[in-house]
Amino acid sequence: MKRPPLSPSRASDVLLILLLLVAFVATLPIDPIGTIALAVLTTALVVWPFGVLVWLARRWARIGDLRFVGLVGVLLIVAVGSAGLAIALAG
Amino acid sequence: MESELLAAVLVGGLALVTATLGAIGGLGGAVLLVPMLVLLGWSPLEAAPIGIAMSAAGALAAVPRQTLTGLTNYRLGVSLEIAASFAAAAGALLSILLPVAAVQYALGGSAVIASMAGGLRRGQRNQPVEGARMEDLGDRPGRLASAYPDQSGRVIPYEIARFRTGMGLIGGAGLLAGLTGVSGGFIKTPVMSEVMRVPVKVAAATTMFMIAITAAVTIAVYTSQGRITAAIAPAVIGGLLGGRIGAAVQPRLPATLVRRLLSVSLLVIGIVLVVRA
Repeated sequence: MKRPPLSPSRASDVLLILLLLVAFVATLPIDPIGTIALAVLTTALVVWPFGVLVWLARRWARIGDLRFVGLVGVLLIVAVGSAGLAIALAG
Repeated sequence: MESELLAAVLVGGLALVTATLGAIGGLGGAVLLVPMLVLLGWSPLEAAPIGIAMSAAGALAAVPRQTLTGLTNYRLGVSLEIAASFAAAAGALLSILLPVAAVQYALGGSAVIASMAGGLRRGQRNQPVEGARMEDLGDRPGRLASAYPDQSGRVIPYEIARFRTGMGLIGGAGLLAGLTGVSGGFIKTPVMSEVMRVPVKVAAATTMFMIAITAAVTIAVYTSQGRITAAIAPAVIGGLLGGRIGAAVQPRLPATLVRRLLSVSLLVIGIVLVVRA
């Protein structure tokens, strides 16, 4: 029998618990595990909002709301571009 | 070793409390956490990444819950965040060039502004439409106006006013976010609520979504500057737990009481920081 997919509420709970575990490991002074956990944690904090934006763009594209799909594209370019510019200038 | 453990527990505990308050009021929480850490001896440059990591974690925990309640206006959030993201990256870049006292002044000023804005906020403007459903009055393609359900499930429609002014002010909030390590939510929520006339609960939930993006951009810049260390991990733990608790209790608490408490604490923190600077 096929298992039903996780509900959004359940999926967010699972993600929360996983991140709590990773954050706990990142507090431990054990290299390289602590360093790897910190890298995973930082990546998760940076990447997930962009995942939400992609989800929104797909949802709005399905209902033909192209104006806001375009705005998501602008936001992605501005956010990634301005961060990239700041990193390049700081470097 | 013992002092490191104590510091981690302290940061985690403070992050838990501030993220809970932040999620309830749509303020992010870093505006409370960063000044506290500075008062406890952290330098503003050390405290800023801890604050922004806590905000990102709090938003990550709160946003899914607030999305399920139908409070988040994603179209408004995406539109306003274009200005905030650009300004946040500029602020993060400037923060490394500015003297410590200037960052402390900016932080103290931010806290006082947040206190005044929170204290001036008013009660409910929009009224529920009896018998209406979210499908009838909620999100529409191409429109920023929407609707949200109140505690008893009645649908309350709302419009957006003074969009351009709000966008400019939220750009300023993004600059402060990058500059001081606070998430800027303490400006975004009052701007949406008071300038753009968005209902307070919707403004708070939408702000949490925007904070996540602003924080992600700022964390990326801080990482490139080598300022993201293991010190953020306890703040992330506190932020994740606090964000989830705040999003769960938000609908049950009187917003006026929360706003007044936050207002008073922000005023005290702001004055102390400006005097120290």
